[in-house]
Amino acid sequence: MDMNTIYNLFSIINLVAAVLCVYYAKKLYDSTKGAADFWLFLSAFIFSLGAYIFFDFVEKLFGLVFESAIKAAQDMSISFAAIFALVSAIYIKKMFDEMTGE
Amino acid sequence: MPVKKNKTRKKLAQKNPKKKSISVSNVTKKKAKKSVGPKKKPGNQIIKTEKKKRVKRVEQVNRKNVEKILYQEDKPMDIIEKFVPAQDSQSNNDTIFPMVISGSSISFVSKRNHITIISLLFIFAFFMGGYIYPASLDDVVSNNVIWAGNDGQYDRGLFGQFYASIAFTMGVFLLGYYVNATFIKYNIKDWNYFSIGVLLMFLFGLGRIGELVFDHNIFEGFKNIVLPFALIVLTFAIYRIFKNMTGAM
Repeated sequence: MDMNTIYNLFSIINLVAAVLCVYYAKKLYDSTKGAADFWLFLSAFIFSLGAYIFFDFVEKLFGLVFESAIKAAQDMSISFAAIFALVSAIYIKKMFDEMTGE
Repeated sequence: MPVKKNKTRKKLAQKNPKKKSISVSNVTKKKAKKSVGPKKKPGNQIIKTEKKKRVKRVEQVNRKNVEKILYQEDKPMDIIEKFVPAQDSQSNNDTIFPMVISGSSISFVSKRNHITIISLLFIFAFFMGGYIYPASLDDVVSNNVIWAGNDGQYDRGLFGQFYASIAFTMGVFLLGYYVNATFIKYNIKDWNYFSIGVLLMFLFGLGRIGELVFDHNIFEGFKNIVLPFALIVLTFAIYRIFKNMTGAM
């Protein structure tokens, strides 16, 4: 089995896992809506990851047709994932400080 | 007569200081009796009851905060119960802080530092990988590194991808660190899966950087293999957290 075929298989697995991840993240966000900003940014982080995986799948699907645009979209989604990860990390700390009264 | 008067004055003068000294000593004795001896118990009891009241008040406030912050109304209380202080907990007997901090399995490393140590070990392994696996002939032909992308030409896109990968890896590392410093430290249910998922995502980020920096296929392979595992673990973790919070099946 060729390595490229395995990578294509992985991209399908990634897409399925990412769709499920986004689905449960959405449900988690809905169930905690308005409770704390942490859940918002955590969901945003997962949505960004989902977008990255989606663009990765599209890149594998269309090959070199939209390569530049798809790669740029991937970079943008992963940069947003980084920002949301950072902000949710800050909000975790804030949330626990509020809970413990520090 | 004056001799008699003097005598009476002297007597009075001798009597008064004695009275004063007696009264002062009585007061000090009374104070001493109050502070020392068997009458110590009521004071201690008052302190104990005040301490208990304060602990109860803090518990109530914390419960309210947890309910407000973590959950909406009508949600199960199974996680909130974790925040109620254990009566025989090791470290929180003397403090008012009611949350139970779970101990680390490694005695000399605190729980929040596990992810830091593992991350540093993996960064070291990646640096070492650059020396162990030098570029093969195929890697040189493919030329897919930051300094030379398209047929040996400088590629701005790959340069941007490199910085995006560094930002992603750092952001995920910080998220993992704070998840460990809060949820894992207080041993909140199912967040250990999330922590493992975040760590795998961190490895994926390292793989992306490694793919661009080191001219070898092994880094690309590592990145592609780690990503599905990271996503599956993250999905499972979020499913478990959601199920645990809402009680949904």
